[in-house]
Amino acid sequence: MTTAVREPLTRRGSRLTDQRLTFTFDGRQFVAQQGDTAASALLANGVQLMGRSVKARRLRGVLTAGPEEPNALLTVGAGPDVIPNVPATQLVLREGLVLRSQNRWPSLRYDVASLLQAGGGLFSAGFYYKTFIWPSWHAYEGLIRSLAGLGEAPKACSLPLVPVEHFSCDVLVAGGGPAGLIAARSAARTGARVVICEREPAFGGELEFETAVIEGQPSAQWIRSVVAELTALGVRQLLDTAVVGSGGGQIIAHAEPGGLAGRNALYRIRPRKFVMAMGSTERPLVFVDNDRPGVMLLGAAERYLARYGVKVGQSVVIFANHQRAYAAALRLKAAGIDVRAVVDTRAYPAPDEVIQAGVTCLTHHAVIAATGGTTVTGAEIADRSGRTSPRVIPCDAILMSGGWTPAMHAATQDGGVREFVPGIAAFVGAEQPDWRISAGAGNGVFELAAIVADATNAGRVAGERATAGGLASAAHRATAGARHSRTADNMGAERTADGVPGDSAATRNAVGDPAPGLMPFWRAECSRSQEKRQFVDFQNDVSVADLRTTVEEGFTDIEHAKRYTALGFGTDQARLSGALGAAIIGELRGKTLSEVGTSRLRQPYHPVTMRSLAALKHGPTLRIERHTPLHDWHVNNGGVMESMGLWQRPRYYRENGNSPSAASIVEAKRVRTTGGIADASTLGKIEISGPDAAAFLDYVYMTRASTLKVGRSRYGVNLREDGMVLDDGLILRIAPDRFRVTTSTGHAGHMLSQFEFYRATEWSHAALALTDVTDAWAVIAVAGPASRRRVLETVDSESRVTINALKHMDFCTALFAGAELQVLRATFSGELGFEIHCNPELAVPVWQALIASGMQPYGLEALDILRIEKGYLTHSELNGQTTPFDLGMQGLMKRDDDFVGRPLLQRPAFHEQSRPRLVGLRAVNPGAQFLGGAQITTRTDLNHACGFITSSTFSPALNEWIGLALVARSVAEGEELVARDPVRAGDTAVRVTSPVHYDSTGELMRQ
Amino acid sequence: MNALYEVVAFRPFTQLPADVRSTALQIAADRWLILNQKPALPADFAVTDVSGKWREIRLPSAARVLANTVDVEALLAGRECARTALFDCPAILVRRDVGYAVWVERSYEHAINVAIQQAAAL
Repeated sequence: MTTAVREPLTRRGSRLTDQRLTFTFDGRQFVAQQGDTAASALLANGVQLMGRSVKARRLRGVLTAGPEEPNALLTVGAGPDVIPNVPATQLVLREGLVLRSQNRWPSLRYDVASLLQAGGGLFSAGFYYKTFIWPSWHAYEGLIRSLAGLGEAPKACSLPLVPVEHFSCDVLVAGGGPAGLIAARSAARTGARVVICEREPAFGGELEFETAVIEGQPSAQWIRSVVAELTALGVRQLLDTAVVGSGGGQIIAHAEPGGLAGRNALYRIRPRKFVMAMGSTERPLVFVDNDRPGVMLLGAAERYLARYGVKVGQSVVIFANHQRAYAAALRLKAAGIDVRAVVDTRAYPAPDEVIQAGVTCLTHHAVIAATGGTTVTGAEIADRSGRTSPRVIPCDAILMSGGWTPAMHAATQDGGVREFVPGIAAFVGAEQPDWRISAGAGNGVFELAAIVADATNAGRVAGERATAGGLASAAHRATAGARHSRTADNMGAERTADGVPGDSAATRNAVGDPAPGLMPFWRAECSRSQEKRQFVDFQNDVSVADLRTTVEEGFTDIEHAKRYTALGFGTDQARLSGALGAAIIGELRGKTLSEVGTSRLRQPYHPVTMRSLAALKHGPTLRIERHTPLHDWHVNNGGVMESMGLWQRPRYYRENGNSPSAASIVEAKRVRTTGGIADASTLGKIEISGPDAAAFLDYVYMTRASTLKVGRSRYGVNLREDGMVLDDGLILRIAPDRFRVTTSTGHAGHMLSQFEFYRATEWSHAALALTDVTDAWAVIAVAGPASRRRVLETVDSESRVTINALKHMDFCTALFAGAELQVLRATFSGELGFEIHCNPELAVPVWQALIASGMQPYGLEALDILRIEKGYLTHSELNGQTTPFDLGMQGLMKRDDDFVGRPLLQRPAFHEQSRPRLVGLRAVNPGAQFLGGAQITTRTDLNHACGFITSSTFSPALNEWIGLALVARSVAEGEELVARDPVRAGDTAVRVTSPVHYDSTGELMRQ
Repeated sequence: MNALYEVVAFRPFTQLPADVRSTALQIAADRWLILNQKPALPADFAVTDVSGKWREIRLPSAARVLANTVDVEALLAGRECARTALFDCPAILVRRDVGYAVWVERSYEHAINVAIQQAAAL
């Protein structure tokens, strides 16, 4: 339901146009101006309540004007594809946006869950260890889970894919405030290719509101002239783009224009030098009810005024611990705001011009409480010396400023360390990798003239080093390290290590707000009972009482305290609360902030939409597929595909049945009675060539390759160095100095790596080469009694005599439509069989010719039946835990030569009776079923397994269930055991047999 | 079908003969691809026919599409081709007089085409 639209007066601000637009917030319609953020428009419309906190569900107004906003997080949209947790301070409005407040039900003003905290303390620090225990956590779990979390997860996502751009540059500058602009210009003037990222839609940073003159120009004019020069110098300018992370030599930047996902982009930038000029975050001050709507950061109030023409209050009290509060007071007063008082925690005299302007200046005072109901009606002030009683100054906003925390998230990654600077009561990035430099407020420099000098030098050094080529020298590291030498109470006296104070002319010409002259002050005194209303982390409702509890319960380390209380967990990633919370923990412990430290800062530095992190990885690009040359044929002819790693292979064909089991029985029967063809192109294939190829294969295979004649192939087995079987396949000798080996599909990459490892180490001086030819050859398996005839019908007539003469494991070159291919007589089904190895371009024509000759395809399910019937092995048996002895392969082993795995095959443990051996299984009751994975026990001891079933299937050739199993060697053939499978098939009595269930003499394949 | 050969030197730092080198794409240390004609090389090299292994992909608006997956400038700094992964697919990126050529392992052709289409549509 909407209400009548109130048409406000046109506001003037640096980011506004006169164009009007409408939007709704919690069902009410409002008017805004083009360029407004949700926060500025709501404030302009008199709306102060914008959200509720997560745990305590306290009513909250907007606190900041930036991405660190902890309170005013909104849900955008009304459908299932809502976008939650959008900071109202960043969301640039567009016509018709539907906005909702979060963490409340049924409405923002009246929230049922807030009753849970009516008495306070229910969700205090560590509550989950102490409460909701009786009678059981599960009695409360549903409620707690429904209350937990920020906002509402979308049920659908209609956001477009996010493009990524990888690129390089000489110098990347993060931050487009005065330091960033100067650094970018300074670097570009050296001839470097420079990119500058600014998270806001406009350059300028604090110059948007600070009264400043730089290089003889007012700040707004100076910004325009610098941006024009950057453009002329070819500097790439990325607005609405925040640097959010780094790693592997890349800096990650994220663009989210308008503060709302939809036109996002992700940049992966490889700069030679990285200048961090990301400014600082203003810190709140802690007093009772400092979360009451109407309490706001001083800098935020100035931004709302300068950018959007919004007065956040008609009569305000400023509460700060530094000199800049007075400059702000004059600007606010000049805009028509009644500044009722500047409450300065320091005992320094207030500037005369502020007093003469009629502003009450209360030095050595503090705001001890915000009074009022749902919004602020006054500030309770106390003399810090205690000489006078507290009093209340009526006001509708309290604007606080506890100093600034330099943005050093980036400076603490990739080996950067931080150091404490007493003069600003904050940490800054200290020693940095030689490709990274801090500048400006992010470097702990706050006075404009010093910022100009610092940034000029940083940009120049970065540009010169980047364009000089190579990595920066030790001298540069010294520059970066010594950049932070400063006196404790004079943060403005920043000098570079090389003694160059930057562009001296620029320094002289830069005049802005005075040096902060900050004296640390963190919280106003109050009674213990009031500490639970002194908020440190607004988003997670971490109060001074919580921090006290944490310390008292022994979680004194800052990392422990963070996790016990959720301090700094929120979307601001500790920018607002990190130093504040650590300082108060220090106060409670009798330690300094320097001693306590702050918790580790992590990526991303700013919240990043999940869609942006996924970027192009969505659907088929998230899980890519490898296709054989016959893939389309399979799909178009009823093949039901399944994944094997990245490969897609036909499991069965629909024309043979609607289920895998039904279809595979039809297909396997057909192979045994007439024949069939299968796509075996996914087998790994490696060519080994060179004079030492044969000797190398003798070393990496347990079986001998060097005695193979050209045109012959052999089954080969590889071991790991620990003696376990790694893989098996065929070895084909193509020429005296050239072999092609096949590997199992799943092990292809691993086998190539294994071979390359030995090639590069023990065989580094050998004359041999390895070439992966997996994709170079398509493989079609032709199996069954009719296979020879069908192959002969398929190839060109001149090849038939040769093929007809092939013996088992022989291969030859043949022609198909005049093109060469290779025909190998080998089988994985136990029937007479051939493999046709051909160029992938020939695969479909050859396949279709075989189909035309009367062959029909079979899938992997049927292949599995056929190989189990023959006792052939796959990954189920070659599972990395079986030795050649376990699998009955000792007869294949070379007797004398060394080979990979041989030394450890002699281990006594490999020869104990408890080792498994491969056996066959049949059900004692021929109709009974048993499944792979079932445990095997003796009939007398059902509780101790003596083995397990590796593979099982219904055999159409034998008309009963058969299997392969690994059982203890002490178990004899013919012994009856129990296959225990309580979840699926129950207990089945089985009998141990030979693993070869079908054609045990191998007569069929040798026909 | 274009013939394609992979050449591997048996020993490190072996130079290809000059006449072969001019047409060869170096894809790794001591490893080259040679298009169309089987090279006549001394016994220091192995030559393997890999004609079916690689597929050439032609890219519309190549630079923008490639930027989605790799920093082309950094990858090809000081060389004309590089073996790499493009959109997670094993590939060889070759700088041409105009734009780039991409050779991708055949089984990944479908995957890289899907990714390229997605990237080109952005």
